[in-house]
Amino acid sequence: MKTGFNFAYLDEATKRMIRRKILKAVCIPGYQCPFGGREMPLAYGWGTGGIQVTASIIGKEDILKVIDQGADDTTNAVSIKNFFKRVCNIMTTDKTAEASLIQTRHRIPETTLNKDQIIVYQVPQPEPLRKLEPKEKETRKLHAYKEYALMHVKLYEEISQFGSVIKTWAYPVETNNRYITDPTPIPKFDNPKMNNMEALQLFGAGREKRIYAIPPYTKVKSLDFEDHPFEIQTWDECCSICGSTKSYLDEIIINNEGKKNFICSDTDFCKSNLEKNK
Amino acid sequence: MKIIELKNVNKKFILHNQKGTVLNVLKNINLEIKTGECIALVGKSGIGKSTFLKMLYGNYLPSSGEINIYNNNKINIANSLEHQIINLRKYFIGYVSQFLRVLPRVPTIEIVSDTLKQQSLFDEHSLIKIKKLLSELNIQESMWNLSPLTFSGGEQQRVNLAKTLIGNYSILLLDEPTASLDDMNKSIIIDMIKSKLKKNVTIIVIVHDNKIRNEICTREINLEKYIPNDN
Amino acid sequence: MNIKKIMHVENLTHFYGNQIGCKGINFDLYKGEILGIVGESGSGKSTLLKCLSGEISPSAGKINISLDQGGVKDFLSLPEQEKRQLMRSMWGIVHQNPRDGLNLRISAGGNIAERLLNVSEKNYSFLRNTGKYWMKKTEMDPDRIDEFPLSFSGGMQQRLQISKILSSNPQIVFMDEPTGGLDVSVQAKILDTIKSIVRDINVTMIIVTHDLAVVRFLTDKLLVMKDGIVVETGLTDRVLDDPQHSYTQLLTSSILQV
Repeated sequence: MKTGFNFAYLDEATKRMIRRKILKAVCIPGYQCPFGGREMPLAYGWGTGGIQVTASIIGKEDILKVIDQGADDTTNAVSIKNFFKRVCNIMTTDKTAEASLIQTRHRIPETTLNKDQIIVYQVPQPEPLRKLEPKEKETRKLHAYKEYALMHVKLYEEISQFGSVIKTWAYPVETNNRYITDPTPIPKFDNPKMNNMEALQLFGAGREKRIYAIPPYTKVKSLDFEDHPFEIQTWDECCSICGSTKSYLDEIIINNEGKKNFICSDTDFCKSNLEKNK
Repeated sequence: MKIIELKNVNKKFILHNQKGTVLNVLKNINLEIKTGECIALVGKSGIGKSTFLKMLYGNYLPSSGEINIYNNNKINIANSLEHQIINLRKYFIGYVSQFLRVLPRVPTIEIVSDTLKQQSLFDEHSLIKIKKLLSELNIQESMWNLSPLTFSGGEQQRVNLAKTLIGNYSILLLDEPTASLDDMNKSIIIDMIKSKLKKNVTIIVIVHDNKIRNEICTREINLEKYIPNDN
Repeated sequence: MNIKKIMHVENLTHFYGNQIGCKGINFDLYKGEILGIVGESGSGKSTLLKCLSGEISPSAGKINISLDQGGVKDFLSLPEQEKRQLMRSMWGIVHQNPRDGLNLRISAGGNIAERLLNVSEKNYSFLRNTGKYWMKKTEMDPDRIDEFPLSFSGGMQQRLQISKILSSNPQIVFMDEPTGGLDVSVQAKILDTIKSIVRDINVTMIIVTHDLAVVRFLTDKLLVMKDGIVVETGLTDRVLDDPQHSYTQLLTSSILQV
């Protein structure tokens, strides 16, 4: 462990402040709690919110997994993993089932999470209504009074223009029949996993300085209309590495002629699926 | 049975913007009108016959006194809530002014059906009834779907009458209903008034023609005796 | 005759600093009534409308409202949430400038849908059909439901705003100079539309305008305002044809004859 730092980089007072905010967030599922976000040794937009949440709750026994777009081996994931190794001297893993703490950007692992795990999302924009109502003062009122017509108007507009809702990521959800919540830019494919998840879900937005949470076993409903129900993406293809037909697939262009391949976005799932099939 | 009662009714106009000139028009009117009567208002021009009629309709406000209309209960037009007067006008008192006043662009047939719609009497037979009335009043079929604002004076007057006569009112206030009509149309209107009287409708009418007056009216009220002395 | 009183206003007063906005206003509004508030610029009619519709809190006075559900309530002491909910569904304001009442970034249908979604209708076909129904009702072309408000003319935007407000079947509609910025022929058509809708759905309205022709066509009773106070009130045709107060006489005699 690198010396000259407190365990998990943040000082104890800061961690206590953030833990208190997390507790508040857990008590009010989906509600965005402001917190005194700190400067972290990386730029806004690279996961400063997620890192602060992780740093506040990580313990010496924890096993950390970090993914970026489902992959364990991408720059952001590798850097954050290395960061925590240096400041906490903890174990890291690529295997979803082995991890006690998972920090993620833009995906929920395919492997079902259990009650002993916590998943921390990196959040670019915590406010689902921001693009519909620019004023913060007004969006807070909209949440407080549960005036969510605007959100459905957005869906209405997409159906009337394109025949169906075209929003495929950061698809808004209603948490615990109360707050409309931004699920972060995960594909809507992952939305159903949030519903009644056994693991605790924590969300940290560093630039916007907000923390929100979805406690275990909480109802999370993707917004829709009675006659235009919510649907997830499907593919005609299967993963060209492991052959999975159940996972979220990335489309990859592999040559100059535009030939396409589809592969699992969750690298851990893909590997273990491949081994199983051997 | 009395249907209209005036008690100590006075009417004066104060013209604030013309040096506060006061025009005393009618004074100390005390009278009763019974259901089914047909009253002719008489008196020389400018004496206040139209003013009298407009006071009964709530269009002019008496300076003092009561104007009681006996519907199921007594309503003093001079001192009632607006919606009560409006309701009375919708179902109980019809008024035909000297000049037609309607929204531009609304076709004749709609103006007439509007009265029935207001009285919630409009049904599948109504259009036939309206068309029959318009034909009887010699308004050509080609004009039914046009706004009456472009019609001649006599035609406008007949649309004005049709608009009120189609309704089911207990009191009719008619301000010179036959003024701009020829003899043939006059006698048609007279017949219509007579058939209203048969249905026990109370009518108060301003009409200058002695012959018509004698033919339909049961009583005359001469307004000369209500002229204030100081005029 | 049992017509329900749905608004009771008592001694309503608003000051801007030392300046009178409106003072000592009293009136009752009954279900289905259309009330006109007339007066020159600066007479306090817009201030009064803002007090009534909850846009500003008056300095003094009382407004009791009676809703279809829930009996008589003291409007001024309602929590903000209930006031907002009222404005979003059971009441509605038609602004003089349709751009104040419409969301320009969403389509005509979306604008109407927003109002309906406030009373939580989460059925797309219902929103669609209701949108088209109200566009037809206000004499718009329902095929233009997916166009944006900026592609409509001023008169059409005003019709859209009226559709939007009426779609939620409001109990009271406030109109602030609804035909203010429109040319005469469009004005007449919109008045026509409003009149025929009013007859159909028995809506209660408060209309603020300086245009006496508008009040004669649309309203049942009038408040005439000058310098923040009501100088005369009564049945519309009575006030216009037999004005009692010197200011009302001045106002009615100032209309140009065409």
